[in-house]
Amino acid sequence: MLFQKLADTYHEFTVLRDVNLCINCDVCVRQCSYHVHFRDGVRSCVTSDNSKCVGCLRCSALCPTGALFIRFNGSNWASQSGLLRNIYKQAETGVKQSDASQGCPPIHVYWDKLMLVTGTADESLSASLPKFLLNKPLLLDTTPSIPINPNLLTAMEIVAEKLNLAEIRTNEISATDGSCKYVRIAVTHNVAKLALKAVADGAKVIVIDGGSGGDSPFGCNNDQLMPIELAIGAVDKILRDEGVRESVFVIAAGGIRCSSDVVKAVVLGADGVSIGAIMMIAVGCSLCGSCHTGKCPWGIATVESNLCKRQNPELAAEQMINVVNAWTQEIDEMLESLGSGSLSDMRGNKDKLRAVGLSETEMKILGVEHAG
Amino acid sequence: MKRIFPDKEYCIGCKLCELACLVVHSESKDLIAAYKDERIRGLAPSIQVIGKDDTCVAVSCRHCGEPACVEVCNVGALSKDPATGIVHYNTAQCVGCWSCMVACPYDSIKRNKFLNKIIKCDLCSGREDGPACVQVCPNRSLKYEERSILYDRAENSGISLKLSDGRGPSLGADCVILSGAEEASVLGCTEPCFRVKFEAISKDLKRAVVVGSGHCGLKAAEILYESGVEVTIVEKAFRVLPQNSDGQAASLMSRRIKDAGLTIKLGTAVRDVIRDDGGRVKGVLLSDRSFLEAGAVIFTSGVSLDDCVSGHFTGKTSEGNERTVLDSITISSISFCGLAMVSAGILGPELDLADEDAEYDSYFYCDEVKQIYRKLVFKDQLLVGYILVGDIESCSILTSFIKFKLKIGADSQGQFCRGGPNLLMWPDNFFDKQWNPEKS
Repeated sequence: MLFQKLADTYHEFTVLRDVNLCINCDVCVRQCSYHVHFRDGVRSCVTSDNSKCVGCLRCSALCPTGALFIRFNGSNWASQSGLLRNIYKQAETGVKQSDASQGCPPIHVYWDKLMLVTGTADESLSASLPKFLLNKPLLLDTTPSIPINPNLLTAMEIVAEKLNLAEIRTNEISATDGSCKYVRIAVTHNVAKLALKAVADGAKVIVIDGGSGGDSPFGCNNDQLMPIELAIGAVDKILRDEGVRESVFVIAAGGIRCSSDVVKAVVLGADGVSIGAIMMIAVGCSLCGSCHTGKCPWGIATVESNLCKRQNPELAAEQMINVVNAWTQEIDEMLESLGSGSLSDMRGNKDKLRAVGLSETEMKILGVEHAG
Repeated sequence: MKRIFPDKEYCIGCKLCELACLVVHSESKDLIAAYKDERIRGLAPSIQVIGKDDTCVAVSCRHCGEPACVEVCNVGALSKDPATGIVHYNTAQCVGCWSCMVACPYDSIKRNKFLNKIIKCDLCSGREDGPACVQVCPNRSLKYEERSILYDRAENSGISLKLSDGRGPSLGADCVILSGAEEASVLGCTEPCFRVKFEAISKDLKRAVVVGSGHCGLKAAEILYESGVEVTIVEKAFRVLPQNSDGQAASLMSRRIKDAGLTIKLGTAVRDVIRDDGGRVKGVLLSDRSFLEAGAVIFTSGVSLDDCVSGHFTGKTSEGNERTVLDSITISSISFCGLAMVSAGILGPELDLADEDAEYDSYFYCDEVKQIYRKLVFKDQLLVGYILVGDIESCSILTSFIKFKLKIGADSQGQFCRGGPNLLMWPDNFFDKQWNPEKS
C-alpha cells in the first residue's frame, strides 16, 4: 500500500464486499466498533480498512443484503496468522505485543478422539456435599476473566432462575435453592495435586478452570494450560486414588463446545460443567479473540454503554434458555442411547468412553480404554 | 389496538427497521432495487431512527386515539379507522399542505419532497407477520403489542382545533372570482375543486390579478401561473402572507414568487374593477391610481385573522372562547413554488397585539442562499411559537415542545434554534411515558 509500513498493511482478515449486493446503507459502518467500515467521501460509497478487522463477523451478520464476507488469511508458517502480524509489529516498534487468548484454539482437543459406548452405573456421591448442585450438571459462569456487559449478567440471572441452574459467582456458587463456597484451580501442570490439596483443606466444591484469558504476552497463555480433558482425567484419578473422590464436587470449566462434550466430561469424572462461553456464543460471540480491546461489536466483552445496549437482556436470556433447552434434549437423547437415566449416574463411568488414536500415556491419564 | 413501542435503551441504531420498511412498501419488494432505484424516486421509510449522543430510537406513527393529523387534514387524506384504530393515509387525496406535519407532536409524519406527499406508517396493515420493522429488529427494541396508553385520550392526542362556532377546521375562506362577465366563488385552497376551478378559468386567459397574498391568494396565483397566465398579486399590506409570517419569512417568500416569474405589488389596494360595455372584466384600478389590465380578478382578501381561517390557517380560538391561548395553537402551512413555510403559535408581539405586554424572546436563523429561515419564540422557558421556511422538517418536534409545554433553559434556547431539535431532547421520563409506556 502506498506510503505504509508492512505492519500496518498486513492483515489477518480481508473484508470481501460484493459490490453488486452492497447498497451503501451504512449498517456495517454503524455496527463496527473498530472502524473497519467507513464511508468514503471521495468515491461516495462504503468501503473497508482490512487492517483493523478482528474477524468478529458482526457486520456480515447484520448486513441486510448479505454483501459482506470475512476471509481469514491463514499463513503457511503458522495456523495463527497473528504470529506473523506480531513479528511485523515487533520489527517496527521493538515493543512487547499483548493479546488476550480468548480466541486461541486449544493445544489439542481430545473430545473428538473420545467416543461414547454403553455400560453400567457408578456409585453415588457422599451425602455431605451441597445437595442443591446434584441435579444441575450445567452451570452458568458469571466470572469470566474479561469485563463483561452487565446486561448479559442480568440475562444469565434470568436464565438461572427460570431453568433452576446454578451460577458460578465470584465467591460462591448459587442457585435458587442454595449456595456454597468453592475453590477455583487453573489447569496448570500440577492441577491434580492442587485439587487434592484443596480437598484435604476441606473444599467441597472445586472448579477446574481451563478457560484462558487475561492480558499476557502473545501466544503465552495456552503454553501454561493443559487441555481440560486431561485435567478432568488427572483430577478424577488422583481423587479416586486417595479415596476422596466422593467427598468433593468437581466442576469443569472452559473448553466445552457441544452437548456431547458435556456427557464426555461427566464420564471422564466431572460432576458439573460450566457453559459460560456457550452462553456468550448464544448471544452472538464469534470467538474472534479480541475481548481485550473492550470494544466487542457484539456488546459482549465490553462495558461501554453504547456497545452494552446491543444486548437486550430479555432477548439474550431467551437465546440462552433456548440453547440450554436444546442441549438438555440432546443430552437426554444421548443418555437414552447409553442406557442411563441421569447424567449423574454417568459420572466417572469410564467404561462408557473409548479412545480413538490416542497414545498409551494419554489413555492412562484419561483413564479410558482404546476402542476396538 | 396493537401499536409499535420503541425502547430507546436497547436501540442499537442499525437502521435495519428503516430498510425493512422501505422494502415492504416498495414496488419491487426487493431491497437492492428499492434502496438503489426506488429511493431516488421518492420511496422513503415511515419509521426513522433518531439519535442524540449515544442514545437512539426508532420513531413511527403512534396511531393516536384522537389524532391531531386527522383533525387538521382538510382534504380527508388522513382518517382514523374506527374498527382497527389505524390512521390511514390516502395518497391520492393528499395535496401536500403539511398541516398534519405541523399538528403531529410525535414527529411521525415526514415530507416526501419528490412527490409532494407525506410519508406515514400504516402498521404494515395486511402483512401476515405484522410490522416489518418489529420483525427485523435484531435487538428486540421494537415491540408490537397492546398496551393501555396515553394517546388514546383526547387531551393527549392533539391540539385543540375546534373553532368557536363549533365547526371543525374546514375552510370557510371563499375566493370571489370575477372572470369575464361571470362571478363565482370557491371554497378554500385545499379543496379539490379549488384547483379544478382555477385551471378551468385559465383557458383563454392572458392576465389575471389576485387580490390578497394569504394562502388562498398565493395558491390561486400559483395554479394560474402554472397554467400559463400572467399573474400580478396585489397586497394591501407591506409584505406577503401578512397574517402568519414575519418580515424575514415574507421576504424569502416574495423572492421565490418573483424568481418564479410573478409580479407582486405591495402596499397597494384595489380601488375598482373596470369592466367593458359587455360587463366583462378589463382590469383593476389601484390605489396608486394606476390601471392594471386583466381578464380576471380574484379576491382572496376577505378573510382576516379574526375570522378564524384563511387558507390552511386552521384552528384559532377567537375572542369569547373559553379556552386560553395556550390550550390551542394556531397553525398554518403552505408550499409555494416548492418553497414550504409553516408557522404555529405566537409569532411575536407584532402579530399578536393582545400579548404585546408579555415578554418574548425570539431567536432567528437565516440562510438566504439556501432559502432557509427559522424563528423561534419563547416565553419564560417555554417555546410558544415558530416560523419555518424552506427546511420545515423539524416543525413536528417544535409543535411537541409547545403542546406538551416542555421547558427549554434560557441558555440553551439559542442552540435549540441553531441546531436541529430532536425528540430525544424531551425529558427522559417524559419520552418513555409517551413512547414506551408500561414497558413490560
